[in-house]
Amino acid sequence: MKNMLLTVAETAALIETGAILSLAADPDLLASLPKGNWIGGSSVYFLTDEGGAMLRNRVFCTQFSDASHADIQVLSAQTLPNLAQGYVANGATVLLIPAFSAAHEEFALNSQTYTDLFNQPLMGWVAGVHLDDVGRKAPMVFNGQTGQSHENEAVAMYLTLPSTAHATIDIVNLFQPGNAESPSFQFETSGFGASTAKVNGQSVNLAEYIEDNALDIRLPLVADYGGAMVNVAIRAVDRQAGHVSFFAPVVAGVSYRQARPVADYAASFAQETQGAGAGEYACNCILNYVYGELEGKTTGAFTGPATFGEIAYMLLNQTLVRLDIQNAA
Amino acid sequence: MSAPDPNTIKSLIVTNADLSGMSLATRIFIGRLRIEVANNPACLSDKIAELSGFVGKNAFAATDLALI
Repeated sequence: MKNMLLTVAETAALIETGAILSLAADPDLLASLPKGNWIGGSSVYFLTDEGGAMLRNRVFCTQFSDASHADIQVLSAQTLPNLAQGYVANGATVLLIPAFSAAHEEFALNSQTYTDLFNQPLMGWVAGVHLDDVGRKAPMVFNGQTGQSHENEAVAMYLTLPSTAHATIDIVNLFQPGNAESPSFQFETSGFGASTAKVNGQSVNLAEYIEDNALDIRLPLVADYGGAMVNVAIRAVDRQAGHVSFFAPVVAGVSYRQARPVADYAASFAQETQGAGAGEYACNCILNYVYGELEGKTTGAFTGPATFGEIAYMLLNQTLVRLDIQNAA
Repeated sequence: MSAPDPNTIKSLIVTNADLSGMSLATRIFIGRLRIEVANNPACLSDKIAELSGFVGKNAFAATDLALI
């Protein structure tokens, strides 16, 4: 795999070679590209070799040079549950979803129950917009084979890998749940918002609880999935409406604890990743970019878009996701 | 590689046995099963069958479970 930050002309030239690509850029740039073996998602925030940057005139380009073939499919909220039907033997799949879309909600709530979803590496991210444009412009994804953009559907790229290649996926989560003395949160229903929660078993108005206890909402709620720490980021607290919204769904019955603070995001990423990341397909959360003040700072050797959600089989928040393809040939 | 016996599979679901070292797919898959069983213990036998099926279908998962 190869990551590059290219001009539109350079990207177009690469597409014309038939390269298999995942692209992230301002949607106007993606819309201007020629058809080819690529998928793309809107994003203007990136972690680059030189550090975090907001760029409207560059395309972040990952070339899957080990892949021998790519099938691209557009999947609606209705057809997303069939996502794994497109898996190819010894393959890996990249999924891009526009933020705040029906596909986003469907995948977030139900992906873990999709038939055969976990049978091969599934990695991807949620396309966003400039933070000043949230609520004014729609995030979108692109099917490069048709040149069409989609605001309400996901796009999947099913990569065929040679028998000598092996794909692995993992996450880097800086956040650890609070200790046993910190409050535990449970929810009665799954969803992107909640009015009430059980805190240490007691039902509370969640918005009031968060404000009365001065919880730092930059710190996600963390659940333990068999040792994999899964974050749910808090989006907004509306005390008047008695409602708290999240960037990923809380799941009924799951026990969450709020994360412990991270002092220095950039240094922590560098320490966690131990210099790994070059030549891997990766994305990191826009909230890490903002809260961690990553503009101008590097996060180890990982580069890629700063996204409105990360996908490693399921929707994640405030997490770095990485896909590595090793080829023994 | 053969799948572990049902008792081993059951123990993976009903305990908090450490899964570190296993693939991300296996960790999340078992994590979900643990949550479902904690919320509804009556579904345990279905979840044992589900995990056995997952391991039977995926060599990487069988390798993961061989770690225990």
